[in-house]
Amino acid sequence: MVDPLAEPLTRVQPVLPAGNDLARVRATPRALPFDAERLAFIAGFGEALRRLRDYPELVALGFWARPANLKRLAERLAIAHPAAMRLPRGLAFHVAPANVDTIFVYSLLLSMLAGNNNIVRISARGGDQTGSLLQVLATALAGAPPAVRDGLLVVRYDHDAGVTRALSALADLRIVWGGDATVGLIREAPLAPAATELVFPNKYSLAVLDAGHWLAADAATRARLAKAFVNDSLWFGQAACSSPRALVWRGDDATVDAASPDFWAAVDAAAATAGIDFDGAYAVAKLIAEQGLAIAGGATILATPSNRIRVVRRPDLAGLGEPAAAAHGFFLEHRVDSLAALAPAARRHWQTIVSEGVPAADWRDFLWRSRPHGIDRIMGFGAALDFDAVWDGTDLLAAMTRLTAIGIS
Amino acid sequence: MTGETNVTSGTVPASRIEDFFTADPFALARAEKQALLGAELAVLTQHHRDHCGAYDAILASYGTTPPGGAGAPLIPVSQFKLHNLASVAPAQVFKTMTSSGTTGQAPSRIVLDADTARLQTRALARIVTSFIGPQRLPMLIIDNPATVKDRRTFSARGAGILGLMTFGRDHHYALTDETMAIDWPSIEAFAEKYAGQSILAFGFTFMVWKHLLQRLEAEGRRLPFENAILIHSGGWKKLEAEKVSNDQFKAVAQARAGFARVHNFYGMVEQTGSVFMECEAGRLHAPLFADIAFRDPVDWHELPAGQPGIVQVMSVLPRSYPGHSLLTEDLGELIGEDDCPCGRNGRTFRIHGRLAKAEVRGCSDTFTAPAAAPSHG
Repeated sequence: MVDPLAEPLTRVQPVLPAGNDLARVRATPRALPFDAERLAFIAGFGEALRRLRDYPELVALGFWARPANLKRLAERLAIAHPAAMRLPRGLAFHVAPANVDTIFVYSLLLSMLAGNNNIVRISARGGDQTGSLLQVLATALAGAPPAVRDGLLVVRYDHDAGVTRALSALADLRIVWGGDATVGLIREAPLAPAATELVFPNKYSLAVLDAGHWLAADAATRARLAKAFVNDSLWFGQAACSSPRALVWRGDDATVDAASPDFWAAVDAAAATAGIDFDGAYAVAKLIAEQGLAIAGGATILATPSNRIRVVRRPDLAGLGEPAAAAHGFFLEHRVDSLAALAPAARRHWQTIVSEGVPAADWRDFLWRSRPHGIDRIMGFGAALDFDAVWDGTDLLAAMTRLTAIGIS
Repeated sequence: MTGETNVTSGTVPASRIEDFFTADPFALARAEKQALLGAELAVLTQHHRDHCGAYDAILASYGTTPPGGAGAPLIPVSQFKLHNLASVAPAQVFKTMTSSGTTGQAPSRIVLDADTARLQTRALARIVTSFIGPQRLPMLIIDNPATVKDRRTFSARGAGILGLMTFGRDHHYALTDETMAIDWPSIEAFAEKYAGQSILAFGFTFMVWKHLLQRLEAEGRRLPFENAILIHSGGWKKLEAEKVSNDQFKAVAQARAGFARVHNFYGMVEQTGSVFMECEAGRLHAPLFADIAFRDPVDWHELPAGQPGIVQVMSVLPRSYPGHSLLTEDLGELIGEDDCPCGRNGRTFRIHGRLAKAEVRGCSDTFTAPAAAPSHG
């Protein structure tokens, strides 16, 4: 009998590592979680990434992959279910996004640590950064032991639903980056009945800042917070899922009115100092966006020192979570008296809240009382883009492994 | 049609629009022009606030100082693609102009009432005749007749041709149809009739170059006109890509078709009528009806001569839509003011081309390219 899914697999173009193919990846034995050979490989890969000074995102990935952090992840995973045996799921099929080139590597490395074998579909139109990333990966794989090298295959193929179906049918675990549209498209390809899936659809992130806290901070603290906020929001041109698109002040009208101009001036200065990429087209896009919000009604456009940062104040929280009208330093500003006011606005796709001046206890109390549909992370200013193995509400290492319960002694 | 019809525009109180038609369009020096133009733009800003709710909402949202200043705030031209901005009731709309929008974008929709349309026609006549004289020359249109056939659809190209046609007579078309094939019988008949004489030609820059001048060069032909005038518009982007300079364009136009006077002009459908014509010294000129400024994208402050910025165009003509002060998506720089060797007063400038489109990043968008901003990372 002819396997209808076999033919499309011939259209898969292997990219890395040299000489590997689908048959060999499928035949390669799975590893144990945090296998020593894989740990050594990832440490070496991370070290090579840290040397790519031209690509700060890759350097950050390299720092994340250093042994001390991996050890922390292993220890955290080991705490749960000490009586059960943790094993890899099997074969993971990763769908990488087209235009942020690095984030899928985090989940790839996690899946390798989980012990899975991995097939990664990368986009045909990656930028320079993808090229550098793949070069470093190729070099690292060339020196890796066969057990590591044979269990990974990076592939390309044209937009081809047949190939996606065939690879999905092989997978025990499918990992999809790329937003709502991609997730929807990939989900048209069924998984094997026992397979599972991790998806990373569109997300929305915001900042919450206590106005009194800002006013009470000294100049050095303000400058530090402003710089951290710039890193959070402008690093990827405000297009990262965890980059804040709005600022919600906690405080009364008078306190917020006093804090707001000072905060945005500090952010503007920090953006100028940081040499964040600025382009005339961004300024025009922001002008179009702020006026569009003005036409929609109820908006106040704040007078910021420059077009690096543009801010539109809105009277209610209704617009929070909507697709951004502009990026590259475009923010909505809102005010609440207390966190409780956020609860009705919080939506399922809210991911990161960067917050200063609001104690963790207030946030725990808010989450405990309101049980919001969304909100996956609450972090300090400056930590928005720090990837963690707990992401989008899921312990990724736990989801990438399975537990064999042992009920005998 | 090119004469003064002396139609009053009584719909805008305090407007002194007729004063713009009594002076020569390139006579007033800076102080006089600024007094007249500044006051008229401020009158229009208030007029549009009073009659266009969306425009008023924009300015109200800025408080006291909108970008560009309270007298002539900056409205990006793209707002006319995204919003219906009109200062007249639908019943008063005389015609709607649409731009040829870039692929995937909605076109601009500019609503004209009879008053604004008349002002556009009159202003264009004042500007063009100041360059080419009042006589109507035989006219060669470097386009195909289909472009202006359907007068219900006023594409930017069709409207441009229709606007310029009034300055010539005995119109002949140089191209056959949408294939842009050169119409030798039409050109030959026209050339035979007017050999050795001055004629007027008009076309879009790239089409003039690609479909007329290059064809003449390729076939080793020459047109027998003397002291002919070529007016062209539409931007240098495509010619820049082919590394064709303005000087080269003019040299070929002269050598191949006897175009001794070649006038490019800078204009847009959002401000029809008050065009910026290129003079004999090769500079684009702001006429009395209009002005130009170059804005620093960092904070919109106005840049001095010699510093490239984003182009702001101002026109005293738009009454039916709030388009009297627009931020374009073009880059250019001021050359000078009241100091052009050609003797005309007013600001002179050059255009450098379009603003580069912002790169889209984010980790959405693996298999599809949604129009909305990407969002995962």
